[in-house]
Amino acid sequence: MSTPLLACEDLHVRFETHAGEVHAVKGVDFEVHPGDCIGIVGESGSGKTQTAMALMGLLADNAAASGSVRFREEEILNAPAGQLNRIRGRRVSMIFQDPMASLTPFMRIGAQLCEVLHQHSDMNRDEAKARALEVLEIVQIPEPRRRFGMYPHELSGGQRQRVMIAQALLCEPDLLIADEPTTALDLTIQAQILDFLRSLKKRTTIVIITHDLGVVAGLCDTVLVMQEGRVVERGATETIFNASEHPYTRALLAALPRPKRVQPPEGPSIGTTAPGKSLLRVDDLRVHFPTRVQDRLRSRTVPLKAVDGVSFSVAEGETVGIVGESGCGKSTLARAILQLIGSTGGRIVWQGEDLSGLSRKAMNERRRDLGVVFQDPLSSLNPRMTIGNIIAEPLRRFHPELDREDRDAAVLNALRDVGLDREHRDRYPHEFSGGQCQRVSIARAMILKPRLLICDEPVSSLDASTRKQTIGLLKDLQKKHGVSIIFISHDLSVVRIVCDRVLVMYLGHFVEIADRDILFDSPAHPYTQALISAIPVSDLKAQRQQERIILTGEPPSPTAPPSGCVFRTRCPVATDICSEREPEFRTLENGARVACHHA
Amino acid sequence: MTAPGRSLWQDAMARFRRHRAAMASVWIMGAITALAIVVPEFWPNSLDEVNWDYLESPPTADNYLWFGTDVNGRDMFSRTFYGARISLTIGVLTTLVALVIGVAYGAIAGYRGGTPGDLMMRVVDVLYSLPALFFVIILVTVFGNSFLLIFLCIGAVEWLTLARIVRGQTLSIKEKEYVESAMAAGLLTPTILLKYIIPNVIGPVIVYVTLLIPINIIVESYLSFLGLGVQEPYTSWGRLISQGADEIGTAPWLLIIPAAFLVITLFCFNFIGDGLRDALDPKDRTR
Repeated sequence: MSTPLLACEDLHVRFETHAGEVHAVKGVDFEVHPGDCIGIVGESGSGKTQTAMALMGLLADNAAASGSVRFREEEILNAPAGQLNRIRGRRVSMIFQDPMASLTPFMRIGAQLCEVLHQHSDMNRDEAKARALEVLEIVQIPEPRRRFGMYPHELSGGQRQRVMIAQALLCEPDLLIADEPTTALDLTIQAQILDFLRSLKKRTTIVIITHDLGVVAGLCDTVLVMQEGRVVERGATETIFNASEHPYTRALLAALPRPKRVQPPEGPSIGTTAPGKSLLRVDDLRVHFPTRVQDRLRSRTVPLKAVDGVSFSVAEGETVGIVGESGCGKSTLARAILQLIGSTGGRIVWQGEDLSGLSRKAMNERRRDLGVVFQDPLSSLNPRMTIGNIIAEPLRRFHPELDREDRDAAVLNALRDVGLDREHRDRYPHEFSGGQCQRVSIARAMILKPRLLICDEPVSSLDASTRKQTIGLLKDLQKKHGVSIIFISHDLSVVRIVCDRVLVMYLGHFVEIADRDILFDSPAHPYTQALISAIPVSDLKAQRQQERIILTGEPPSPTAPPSGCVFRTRCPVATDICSEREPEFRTLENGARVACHHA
Repeated sequence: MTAPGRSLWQDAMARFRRHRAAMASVWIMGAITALAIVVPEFWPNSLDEVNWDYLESPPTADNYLWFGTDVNGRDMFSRTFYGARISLTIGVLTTLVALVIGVAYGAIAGYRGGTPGDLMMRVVDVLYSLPALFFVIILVTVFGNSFLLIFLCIGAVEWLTLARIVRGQTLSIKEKEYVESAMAAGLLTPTILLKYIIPNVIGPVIVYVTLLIPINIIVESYLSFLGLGVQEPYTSWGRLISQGADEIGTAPWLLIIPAAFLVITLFCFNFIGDGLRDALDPKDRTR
């Protein structure tokens, strides 16, 4: 066997904190050979990122690393900064999770790239610029010359991640370490970046760190599974996926979505009862925000069409999923239904009355029947209030007649319902994990027994196993109280488990509305098809054989949506008619409704 | 049944008690305040009585002249604590006035937002642009010189900065999902302001306020110097310090003693401010 490029032996990382010593990495060994592509997989807190930081000598000040890390036989663990700087950036490069936070906001893209070259080579300005442009071409950024002079905030998330990769590739490193390179990205953009990383395997050796086994599946040859600072299982990707031995790996695999048409998700979906009478009807709802754009010398106001004419209804006891990528207007839609944002046009009919016509006061009274759970578990709880007070707040508002004891009893009940202890009542949000905070949010939303619960990305910031529990909790509560749910998510695999009916949203419009099984088995709209094919699945063979539809480009700006069909700019089957006429909803034989000229 | 749930303020009190520097400061300020109340009333030498045998005497045990006397032979002990009465009252009360008006105004302007919010802030801008001294002189000319007027003048000027700080913080906090959750839960605006917005803006406000108390004490001294504040024979720390500064070569205690009290007060309020900020933030920093 060749000498390893990177050899890590018995690596330990310890943190000195005010609460005592935290042993984050407990003896990790692995070797990376030239040409390898290795995935390090684990949930948050498993020590995977700290391992990578230790390799690069980027640990925080209160951390101590021990063991041995050799890069081409040279010991680099705890090496002086000068020695590390000869290796970092030039021979080993790292890509971080958040591309916005890793690029300097005040420097143009081109300048940032050239700066790296000036640091590590003696290229002159023109050579550096030529090299930077060449690398931007490699990472397939559209119009690299124009992007060269732009600032990071002018690029989209996917493009920023490409710039990060370009920066890492500038000096043709021997080893590329990518920490959660696609976690912050949308599904179709993630598919693009993964596809690109696959093509990059020919150029360089890659170590990918991720919480998502699905990301690893189509990309890596070898997988290391980490749990609580230890490598619990390692092996070829095929072996890990098909014959994993460790229960933790199996739990991670079980949390992944199954490939399509292999087996429907176990158990019935949340609402199995026949849909009751209509609870909420949304009619041609529009939400436009006035935004100012600079047009040569003058600035003018143009509407940003976040939601542009959507109609749907929710029946009693039903769970409706709204799926779309970030920026498609799904969160705006949720806030408009709740009247947290005023609508520009259309009607929101709630139990027979139009909410948008109500006064603030009258609307506030209706809120007792409308619960909401937001995405970020920690920031949706007031940091200055105890969990008990947070949950009791709606009771204080709508049942001021309750005395303290009754309210306390109700709070304890609600805590038990969501699986928290009564001792948790007097603690503060920051003392809880993301999953627990989300339980508190759910308890608060459910304490008045609302008729409709709107969940805006309730599980997207949670780890796979916590995600599963939280979804289970929502299902149980629905069974118990018969509440209808609008479940908003960018994650189709979650929607598949939870929802009866799915609405697919793109750039402020619905493109397809169908029952869950119909949608996943025979998606009609090209966008739905692309989304479904982008889901990373747990079956390796399916993953590798499955023909992936990789959408090119990125969603257009909602201030200037394309004429005709909004999806046509990225659509693989678009023709002339798509730019001329806006497609209307048609009902297909299987009952799905789709807005596409070609479906 | 278990014990009833705790409230924010109960928790904050418990945390404040654990902050040792803040608790010590509270005791020291308590002592100074008590002396400020008791000494001018019961001390054998009154503040305007001239001791002919002790003109500009350094601190001495004779005749209860523990802090010495000033150029006119008046007892500095008595004068220092009478000054404490004036300075602390002005420092604390004007700051409280500024705090209440500034926080309420800023939070409402920030939370309401839009045109009404902007209009409210333009009013602040207009008031800001008036020179404070000019403002005070006009008020004094119109209403005559009075103690109450000093409150109003200082308070009326100082709340403007607070309103701006609070509005800025409110604008960012009202975008937080917990405020949205509160709105979506149908909570009424006063509840949201009092329980969701204000407790979360209090950190930078407290820091500013603890600096404001000593600033207000100084402002009073220059108003007095211009003849707009308290007048002889009554006095305040600011006046004592400015008079002491003139005698620094011959009678340093005239400067050192009131200045020491002002510095101690300044430190104490800073520690109390630290304690309050930590106490109101459940994320415990002290451990």
